[in-house]
Amino acid sequence: MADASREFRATFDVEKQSIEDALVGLDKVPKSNVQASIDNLVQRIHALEKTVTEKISILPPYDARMCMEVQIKLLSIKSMAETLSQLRTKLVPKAKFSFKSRKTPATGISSPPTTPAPKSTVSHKSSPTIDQTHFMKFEDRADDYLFIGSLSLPLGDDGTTAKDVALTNLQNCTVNLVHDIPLGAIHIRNLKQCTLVIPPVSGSILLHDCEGCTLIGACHQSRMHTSSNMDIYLHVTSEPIIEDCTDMRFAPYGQILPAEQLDRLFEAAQLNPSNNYFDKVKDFNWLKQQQSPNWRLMDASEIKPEIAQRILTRDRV
Amino acid sequence: MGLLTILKKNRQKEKEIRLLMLGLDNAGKTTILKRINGEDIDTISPTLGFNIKTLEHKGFKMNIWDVGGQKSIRSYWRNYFEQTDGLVWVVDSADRLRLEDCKKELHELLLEERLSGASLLVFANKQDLPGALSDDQIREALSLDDIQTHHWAILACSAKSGANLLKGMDWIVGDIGSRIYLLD
Repeated sequence: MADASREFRATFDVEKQSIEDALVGLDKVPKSNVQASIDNLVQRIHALEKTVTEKISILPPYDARMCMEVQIKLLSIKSMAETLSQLRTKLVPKAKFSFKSRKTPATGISSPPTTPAPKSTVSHKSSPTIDQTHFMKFEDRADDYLFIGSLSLPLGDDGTTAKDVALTNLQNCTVNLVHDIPLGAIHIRNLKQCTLVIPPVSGSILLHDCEGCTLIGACHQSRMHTSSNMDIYLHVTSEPIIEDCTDMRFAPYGQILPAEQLDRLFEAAQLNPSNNYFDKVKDFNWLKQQQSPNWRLMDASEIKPEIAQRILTRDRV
Repeated sequence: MGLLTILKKNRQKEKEIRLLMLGLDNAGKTTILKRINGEDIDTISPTLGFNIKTLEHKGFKMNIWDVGGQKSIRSYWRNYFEQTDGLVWVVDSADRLRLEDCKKELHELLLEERLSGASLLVFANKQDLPGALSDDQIREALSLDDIQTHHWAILACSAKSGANLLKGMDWIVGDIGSRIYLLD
């Protein structure tokens, strides 16, 4: 098996090099042949991708190292394809006009072709303008205390249905989401040196691009991406995952509120309080059986229940 | 779908359909699969690899492949393309922040040669959430009307309540059936 994979990599590298050389040489190809040369290269890249796909199934699936190597190869293929399309626009001028093929009616269930949906005047090509008002959100803040109770509810909302929260671009902030508003999913992106307290929520906690934060939260699913150096106090009723993260420390959620109040919040969020998988973290970058180097459990001495207390008492005063 | 494939399928006594369920992470793919299969949906973990379920529906044997949507495993989606009759694309209708991402991934998939014959069902999932976009809004956000290469349909659904899941399955099975098993 090792021989087969080594052999595969060797052939792969040769073909990749040859494609790269051809790419560099594109500048010297006469203009009339550029399109043909590019098409030919695209085909070769496709063929190469195909071999990779075929080999992946032959290689031992849990051999993480090989997987990562192949992944790197795939990435380099992608960057090659991108260079190609850039070259294409650079070298081959766009056609002046062309005949569009007639639109064939799509088979929609919800709105059959006989009654087409009313078209907005906005061009379909532009990114859709979707209002973000249903989100309760804090964004672009620094050195601040942010309490969800200070946000007004979306217009026409009676505060009984669960709402999603978006926290974006916060630096050195303290965020308190514990209030009588039921919450769904919590979308967190680009937080630096922040502390967050999240009540039991009926959705997921989704986190991207955070650093040096403390997060205290309870949810059905926890998905954390491209973050590092985080302290996470978690109650989660399914296995939490991390992806492209380093230096993540996990601890149980803890008794952040009086038992009766906390029980009520757990029940409202339909979370089972006795079912906590905070210590069963799955790392997408670590397929081996051994413990991932990207996360660990906190020692008892590292757990600081006073963090939540300090934040929560602030609004009872 | 080539003639040979049609003939091959036709020869089989049992009518088999292979469905591939994809979408961004947290869209609700596994929840849909488990809900259809009548399993518990309260303790579903993010999918690290894939799940497969075989179900009987309308006289067809459906093999549904549910593959994880995390970014680092999206590059492995291609390993599941072969012989796919139908693609079920699941969207978290409340996740407005990543709709652009969702659109990009879907349209990239549709360029894939090995999926060229597949019917496409888009599930606008999580309609139980108050902030969910309607199926028409999702249809526009994902530029579904630009799709010329595949038979497609979009359906608002909720994996949590089960609403419209079977209706969606009915459509995709019907669409595939009318294409592949025409010669029956």
